[in-house]
Amino acid sequence: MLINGLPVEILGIIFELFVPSPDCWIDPTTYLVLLCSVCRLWRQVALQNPLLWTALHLPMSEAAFQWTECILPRSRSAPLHIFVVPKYHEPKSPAGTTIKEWSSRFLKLIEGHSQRWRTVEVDVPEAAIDLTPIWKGQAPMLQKLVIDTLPLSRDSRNTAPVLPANNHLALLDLSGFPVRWDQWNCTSITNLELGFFTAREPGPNPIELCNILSLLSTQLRELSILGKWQPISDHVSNSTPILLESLESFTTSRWEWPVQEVLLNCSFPVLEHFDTKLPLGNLSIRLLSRLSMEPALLQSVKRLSVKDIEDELEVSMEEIQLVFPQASHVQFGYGIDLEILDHSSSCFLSNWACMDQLDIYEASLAEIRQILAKRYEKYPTPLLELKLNRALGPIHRADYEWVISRVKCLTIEQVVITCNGISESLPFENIYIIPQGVV
Amino acid sequence: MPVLLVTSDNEQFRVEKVVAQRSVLIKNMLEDVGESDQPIPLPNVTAPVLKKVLEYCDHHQTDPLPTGDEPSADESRKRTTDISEWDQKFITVDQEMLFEIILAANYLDIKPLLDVGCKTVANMIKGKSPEEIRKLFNIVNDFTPEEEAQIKKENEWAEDR
Repeated sequence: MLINGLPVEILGIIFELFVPSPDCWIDPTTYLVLLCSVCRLWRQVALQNPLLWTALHLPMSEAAFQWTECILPRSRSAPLHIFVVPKYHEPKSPAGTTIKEWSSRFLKLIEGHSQRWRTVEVDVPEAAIDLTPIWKGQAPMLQKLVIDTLPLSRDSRNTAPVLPANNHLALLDLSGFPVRWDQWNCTSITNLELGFFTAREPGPNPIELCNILSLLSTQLRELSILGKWQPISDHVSNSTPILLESLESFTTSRWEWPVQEVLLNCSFPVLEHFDTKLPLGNLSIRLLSRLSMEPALLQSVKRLSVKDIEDELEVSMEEIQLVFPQASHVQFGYGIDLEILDHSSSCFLSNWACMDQLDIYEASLAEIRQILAKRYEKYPTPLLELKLNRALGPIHRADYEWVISRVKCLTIEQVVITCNGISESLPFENIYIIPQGVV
Repeated sequence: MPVLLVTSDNEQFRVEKVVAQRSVLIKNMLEDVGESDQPIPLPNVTAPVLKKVLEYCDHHQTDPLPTGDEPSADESRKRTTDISEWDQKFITVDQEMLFEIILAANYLDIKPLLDVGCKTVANMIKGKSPEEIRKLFNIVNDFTPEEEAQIKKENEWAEDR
């Protein structure tokens, strides 16, 4: 039996699995061209499946523009995923056309299809303003809107568009691009990400932020507040806390005023995961006072992801313990380059009393042994689970045996071996720890 | 209670009901006939292929069954092409057997097995040129000159992205 003897529906499934998911940032062009270049049957199957043709990425040459014109009808009535994200950020592309001009042409080409827009990701400031169909409420099926732009030379407070009421918008990620926070009436969002805002591109003020959270209080599951927001605002106090009844995950950077405002004005019955930098920042007296009076405020947080740890952590350990009294599952170094477990990191891990589960992205077993040895001097209860994504080799037998004897369940995904300056990752099961002591 | 399955080449397989019911087709047939010793004919599956399929069903007999609440068609492609270690070893077979397993999984309605088979083929295509794919799967280039010209044009547009 040959591959072309498979029913076309199955060939279609294989193609869908082969081409990157249309709502991710990977441009599927090369995959699609390949499928269409093998034989007539494959070309037919690919052309007849509209779902393969729904990702539209900003074209930045005449040829690329022709390709976009060619594939748009192939998507028929399927939902579209639009990416106005340039591949390079020079003011002019090699052909002399500016990114602004390309994005404007691109948006003109697709604006007639706005009823089908499902995902829109933009990082060209002018294009964000040009998303007229969205601002006019002509993209009713939009589920995901990501606008991450550089500042424009304008007063954004007066020109910011109004986010229309939309029953489908589930993910909104805005950074450097304000909307009319005071006219917010979109209540379907389950995942809200607010990035950097400046005095010229301001984020919501405390009253607006509380109003937004009130509107989203029943369905918001993930909240992310990153970066500094300017201008700095004074605290406003709500008479009754906003019950964020579905919020499961809160991602922050250092705790600037917006994060502290959320913690002062809301309550979090099911918040399970907190992702933050340490130390937390200068906690306001009001927040410290609330935490002292309501020690259960963040008691539901069981999983604490630590992005980064700066120096002088020792002085704030007590404060961090006050904030997260029950965070027993610590994740460390995921998503960023925490290459070495420095003094502050070791201090945190060896002194975090309630930890029974630890995930570390990258470390050597010798480093982990050192941390655990320090930890067990104070807290003799063994860790239930230790997961190490990348163990830095060579692995010394003594370290390995020491660690497995003190951790109930040790999982090592990969071992990184460096030889003559070249590093290679190998699955742990392929590693043989020789009796003499090293891999 | 064991179930008796009969393949197209007339071989009989006696398997536990819980294993056989990984196939939605067999599960529905068993529900239709009720408690019965009647053998279940599988006219579209040969013995060597059924043997492999039952090996898969046996290993995955305790997995949760698909509920029907899976992502809708346009979301289904969010699936990755990752395959678990056991499944990878299981599906390391020659091409002929791979396609037969896919066909059998489709006929017997065993969605997770169909997924494993399709992901394996998708992974085989990755990183290859059209010519390498033709060679790998014994496919003839049957494009007309007009189609070739259109493909050439599309390749040029795509290359300039």
